Amino acid sequence: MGEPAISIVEHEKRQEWWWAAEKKRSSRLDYLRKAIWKKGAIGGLYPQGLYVDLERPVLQTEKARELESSPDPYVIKFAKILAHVLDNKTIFITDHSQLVGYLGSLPNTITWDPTLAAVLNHEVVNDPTCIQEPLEESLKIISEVADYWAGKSDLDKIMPYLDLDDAMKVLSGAIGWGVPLSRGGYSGKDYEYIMTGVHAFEDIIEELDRRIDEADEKAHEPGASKEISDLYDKMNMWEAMKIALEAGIRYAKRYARLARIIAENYETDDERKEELLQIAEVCEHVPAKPPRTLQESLQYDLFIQLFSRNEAIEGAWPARPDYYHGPYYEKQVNVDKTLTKEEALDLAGEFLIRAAEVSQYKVKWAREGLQGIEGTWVWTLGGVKKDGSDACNGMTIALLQASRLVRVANPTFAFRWHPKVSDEVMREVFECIRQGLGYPSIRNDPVLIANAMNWHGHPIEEARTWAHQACMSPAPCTKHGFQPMRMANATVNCAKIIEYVFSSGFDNVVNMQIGAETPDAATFTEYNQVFDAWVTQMKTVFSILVRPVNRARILAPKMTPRPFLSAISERSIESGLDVCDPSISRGNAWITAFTWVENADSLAAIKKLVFDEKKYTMAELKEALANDWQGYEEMRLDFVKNAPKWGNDDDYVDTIMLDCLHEAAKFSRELKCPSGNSWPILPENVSGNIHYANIVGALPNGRRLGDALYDGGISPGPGLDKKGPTAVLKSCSKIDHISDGRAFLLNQRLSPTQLAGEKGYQLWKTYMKTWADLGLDHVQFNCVSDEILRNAQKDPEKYQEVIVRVAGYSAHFVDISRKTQDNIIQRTVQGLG
Amino acid sequence: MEDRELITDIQKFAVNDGPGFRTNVYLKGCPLRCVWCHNPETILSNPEIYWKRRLCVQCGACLEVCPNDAINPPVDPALSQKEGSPYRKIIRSRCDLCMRCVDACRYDALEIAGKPMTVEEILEEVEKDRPFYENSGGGMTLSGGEPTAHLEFSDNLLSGARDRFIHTCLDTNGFCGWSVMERLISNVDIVLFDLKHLNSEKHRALTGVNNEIILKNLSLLTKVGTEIWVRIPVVPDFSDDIEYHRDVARFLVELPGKIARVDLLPFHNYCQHKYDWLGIDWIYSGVEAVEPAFLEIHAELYREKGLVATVGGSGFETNVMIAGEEAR
Repeated sequence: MGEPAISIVEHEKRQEWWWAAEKKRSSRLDYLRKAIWKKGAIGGLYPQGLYVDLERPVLQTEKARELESSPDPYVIKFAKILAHVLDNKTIFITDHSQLVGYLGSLPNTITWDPTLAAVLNHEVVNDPTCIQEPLEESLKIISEVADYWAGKSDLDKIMPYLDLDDAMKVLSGAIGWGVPLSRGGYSGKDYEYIMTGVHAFEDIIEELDRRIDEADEKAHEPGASKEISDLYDKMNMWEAMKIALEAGIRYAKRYARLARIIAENYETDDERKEELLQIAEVCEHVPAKPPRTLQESLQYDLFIQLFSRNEAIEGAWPARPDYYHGPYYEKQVNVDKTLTKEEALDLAGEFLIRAAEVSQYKVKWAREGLQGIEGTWVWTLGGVKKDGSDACNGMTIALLQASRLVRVANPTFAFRWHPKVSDEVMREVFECIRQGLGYPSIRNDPVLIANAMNWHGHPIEEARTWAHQACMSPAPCTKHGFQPMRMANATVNCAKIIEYVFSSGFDNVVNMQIGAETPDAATFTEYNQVFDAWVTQMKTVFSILVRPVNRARILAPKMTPRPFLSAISERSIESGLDVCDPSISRGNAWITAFTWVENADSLAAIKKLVFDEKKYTMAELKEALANDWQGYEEMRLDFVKNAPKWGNDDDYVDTIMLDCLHEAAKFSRELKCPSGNSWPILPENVSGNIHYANIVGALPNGRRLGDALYDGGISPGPGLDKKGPTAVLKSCSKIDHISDGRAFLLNQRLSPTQLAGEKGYQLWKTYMKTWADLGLDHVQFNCVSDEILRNAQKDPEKYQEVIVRVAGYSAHFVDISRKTQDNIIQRTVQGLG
Repeated sequence: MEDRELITDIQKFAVNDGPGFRTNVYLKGCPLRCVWCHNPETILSNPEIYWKRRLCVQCGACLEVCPNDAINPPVDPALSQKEGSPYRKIIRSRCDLCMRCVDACRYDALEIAGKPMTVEEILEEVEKDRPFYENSGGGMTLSGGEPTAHLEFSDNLLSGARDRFIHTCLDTNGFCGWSVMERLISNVDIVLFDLKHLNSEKHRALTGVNNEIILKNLSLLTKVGTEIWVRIPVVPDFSDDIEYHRDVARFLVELPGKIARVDLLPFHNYCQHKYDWLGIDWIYSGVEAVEPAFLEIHAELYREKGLVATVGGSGFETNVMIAGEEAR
């Protein structure tokens, strides 16, 4: 009947990875993968069928109203609101699932936290695409909630205490994005405390009780001191932490109860009945007690992640799942034999699916910036243990395999490469890349461990526990090393630095003075004057964005505390201080540097064409830029074509890149975070290159207002790396990835034909070895897809580096005749070329 | 002044021309005239001009500076940029390669094919990718054009690479006196030996020369013991017949010494634009590329005879890596 079925091998040969995965995965994973709703917004709009969940905002608002007249301190009120949500939100169990818990009330809901920012609430009111019918009724609820939180949201509370001048410049959207809030950003976690099977919620509650009793006694000793007075704040904090943990345990038990009800009253399938009873048992055990099995460990982790997202909006999901779940995997699969590899693979796959479905309502610019994904959930795999030995285990392999079966766009993986990783694991990593997942990205573990020690003084054992706190940034998972909140506000649109050199700091796009009032660039007669102005602008812009974060970190413990996150952090449990309190944190801050490379290319073009060759004057250049190069096309082409560009192993421009980085690194040591540590820069981009296209004016690298910026980190400009991938790595290797910055993103394209077969693996492995030898800290691969090649046909200038490689011959794809290009695309898709 | 030769390209990250990651150096000038040639810019030993249709905006700057009336007047760029348009910018018969038009072009549409370089300049460029050679067993591949046609220069370049401990491959068509070959191979780790056809008449018909001297050189090379990778272009209606490959396989195993591996290189037409840039008509322009997967059958014939054979010549085939290690 019907068409003959296509075999898995045939799908793989055609590089139809999704169809191959569909046939390879278990029926359970297949069901679960298809039972989730895609949450990532495309072009800033949420996909059809999703709607904003109103249950939680209503619960939060009704509880907040009720507590208005209560004498409770704020932190306890906040914890009670969190508990109210967990106690009353709708829960459900998806058929075939083994892990439970979802942020919203139904699988197609996006959760909305109205307590964070009034601007976010205004967006919900005005977002007709995802409001639940009946519309009128929903809008009434939304506006009541929005009204209630107006003036009471976290941002409303914090803003008046920031430097107003800085705040206005940040809000202009020209130089940065994000907000300085402790309940809206990227939280690291003290996994070494909470995920090592030693402490679970009940243990912590016991300790909190003990500490409260002790403090209570001490507080009643005679005498008056600041220390005694502070004990009252600590007791409140501990109390709030307890409320949050107890609510978490109750929430899990609601699932246990639901699973039992279904099993005992409704489920007719005996096998499923057993599974439901198993879920009940798991949820009765975790998070109250430390997990005993892989399923419990994953469920425990999932609960913690969900509670954290009930407390705050989390734009990232820092995790090291193979390291922390691996011991359970090893014990059950390899020692006790109570779980088969296939069963473990199902659990690993479901864990990815449960994470993939989580969604939190975001403002449109954030959605645009993330392009189709919910957040930057980069899970860290591989790496070393505290003693330096290889940390890879069965769970590493299970997760890599599971990712190819479920193929979710988020979370993604980043793999901590080191010389002791086994060939078996390397092959699994490679397979994910070959199969076009776009991940794992590869991180150079020895380099990044040294980097963490160098920049933030993390001791080596702690540095070795690092996980990605956001897309790129390493942070230890230890008591004092982890960073409770990365406030995205310290994200710099660096192309503005060189732009401001020519406008003396005035921003012509948003019409306000943002940068420093450096001297008129038209009067510069030496390159050094240009560079000095650049340094001044760099320092000014960095400071504007870092100051609010430093201030907010100090304000956070009192104004926007995190009782749940504190409750799973050893340092807070011990001290009774909020987890964001800088006094108990070593500090692990970084400045995300978007659109960084434009600076080096622009400075090189100025140096060569204005000062070396004297073809143009600074006044002419200033004029051309002020006119967005209009009327200066020949001159513009000169700046594009006849100036050296980063990424070609050319010392002329590569040295300028180093000059810029060295100045930034020097300043990073002067800028201090509230814990007294430094603010190194971290060049990367997310989708900032597109977001900022209309915000960055004309630049001396020949770019016009509106042109997309370079695609990221220290990657060369698209089409400007004319000497191929080896030259790119050579240029990047001139940067010292330990001391010149915190991390450096590099994108590389590989063609699927190069990666085919055993030779493909050998090629990649050798390439990786050289990458590691050169001391780079990051690389991520895009397979050259038919889509990339189609784009290259449309926009050849940006894809000049795409090379067709056959024996004894080489040419750039963009030069080849259209018909042949079409032919190559066909081969690329089919993987035969 | 130090000796310079024309180089059409120094291609890094080459992965199909000898083991590992390689840097290919393409010399300009070749004694053969293979009609399917994939690198037409390397055939003549003088500099030539590329005119890149896609980039030309028809501004007319080249016309103004041309002293020989060798430039066609501008037309609507929409027409001239179209693929397959008969319009050409340079009238080859009148052009004396003074290159003034190239200097005048602001749009990179005119470019010189063949840049004079010294051995030192080339080696400096080759040296840049050293970290890639060391991990992959890669190095420099001297190609062309035909390196044996530039004896002194090639010898200096190969020995220069040797002095720097860079692995060397010589990609040659074998059409030279034995003394030339003998001198060059003293600084060569692997010879990539092109075998276009066993039949001399057919060879002459499509390459312009007989093959006796080539086959003799191949035979002598096997006696010397230099590692040899035979590279066989598989060209439609010329060298794609199964029976023919059976003969080649037999021929290769009957040679006095060992062939380390055989690479079947499928004909492709990716180079069509280069003919267009040079203003030359190519008789293969309508011919479809040979599907690499189809050549697996051919490759099997060699494997049956105990030879290592690949389709495409990847420098990362595992069996090859092992063969390479044995040779060392």
